[in-house]
Amino acid sequence: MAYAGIRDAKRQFMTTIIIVILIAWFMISALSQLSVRRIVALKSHDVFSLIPNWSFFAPRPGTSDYHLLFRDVNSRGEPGKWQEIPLADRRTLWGAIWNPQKRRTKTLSDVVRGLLRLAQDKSLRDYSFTLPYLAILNYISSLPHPELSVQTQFMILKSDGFFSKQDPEFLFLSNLHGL
Amino acid sequence: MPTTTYPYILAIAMMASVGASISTLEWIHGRRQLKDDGLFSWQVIGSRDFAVGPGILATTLNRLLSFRPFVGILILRSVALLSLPIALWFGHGSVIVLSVIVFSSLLMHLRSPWGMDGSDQMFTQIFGALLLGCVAGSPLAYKASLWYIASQSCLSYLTAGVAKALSPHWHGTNVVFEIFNTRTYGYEPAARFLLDRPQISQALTWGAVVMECSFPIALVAGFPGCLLFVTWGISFHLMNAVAMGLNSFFWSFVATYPAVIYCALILEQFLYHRIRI
Repeated sequence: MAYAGIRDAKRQFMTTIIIVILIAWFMISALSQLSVRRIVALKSHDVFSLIPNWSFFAPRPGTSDYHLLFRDVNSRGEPGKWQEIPLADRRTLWGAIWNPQKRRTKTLSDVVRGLLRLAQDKSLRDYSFTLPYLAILNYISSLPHPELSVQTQFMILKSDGFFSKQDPEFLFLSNLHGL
Repeated sequence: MPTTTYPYILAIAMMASVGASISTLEWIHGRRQLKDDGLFSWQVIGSRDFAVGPGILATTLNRLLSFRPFVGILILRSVALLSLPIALWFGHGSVIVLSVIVFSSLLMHLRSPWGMDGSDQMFTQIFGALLLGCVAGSPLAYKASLWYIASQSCLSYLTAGVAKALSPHWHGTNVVFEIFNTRTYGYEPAARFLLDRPQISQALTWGAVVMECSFPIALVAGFPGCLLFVTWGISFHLMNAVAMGLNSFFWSFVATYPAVIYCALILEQFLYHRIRI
């Protein structure tokens, strides 16, 4: 009898703790959507994404496509042709069930956007040590390159999708990097 | 409709497990990107402050998150996800299984500062709440988990709807067309259809905004009123899966609906029949 009583008290105590945690977790999540300053500061340290961000496609909907291109330079210093790395894949009905490509697409899109955000930061003098820059460079360096290539460089362009009358807009050009 | 928690918890766990399993298997399928020359190179991502240096945290993370151990974690996660409905059904081992799932979710977020999306966030919320409920193991704790999942679901739609309604970028006439017109999230046949039909594009935009903003009403709409919102949500996420390739969103958000239905039933009893919650 005494054992059952202790067990019930323990379970009741655990339940109270769990309810407090869930209420706190929800309150922090809700305040985070309102961009409350302290919560935003807390979120900047949230490497586990425990505080969600639910403002999908807002405030700015993704209405542009980014294009990632690279070219190599050979030992004589001659640059090759620009080659595009597709950031988007063809939509298929099967993709509604199984879509492993979306992770690569989303990642490339995220790092390109991340780099462009950093490029607007005037206080930052050298982008080449930022994580998005290093991620793109690392990825491009891992692609097959002609044997004579000694350096590589990447560029980011922006366009307005399938039915666009305008040429892609230039946004970013990287330094040359040894292969 | 029953108002005991068990069928709802099981329904949520089953749907979330299917979705998270697909997502994890997609990770394993594209594991080449986790290598040192891939997009998720730990040499690059692991250069963040917390993972550098001789400290215990940095050493542990470097051991866990380099290519081979991390793929092992993904495989373990898949096994745990497939075991979850069985563990809940038989009432054994659910805390251990859910701990593995939640711990691997946290490591996946840590391992990939890019490429994670809203469905991954919702999976973390769902499995986190289920784990907390199972740890306490009392009926009240399970109820709290269901209320938490339903509240996060409503918060997510409300936030998405209000953020769009307040944004000047969404006040243009052709926003839905402009999204469908992109190669990243779009769908060429849909863009072609909407190209010369701005009224339909605008109706789709405001239809989505109104439904997202009003989704929390599902909680007080009772039964079967809440099914109106649930049906809209299923159609909305199905369309997004087909047209935008957002397959995991379907599972993660639809998995929250049993919690929404449960809370709507409880509130209906409280509000309209004066029965204590």
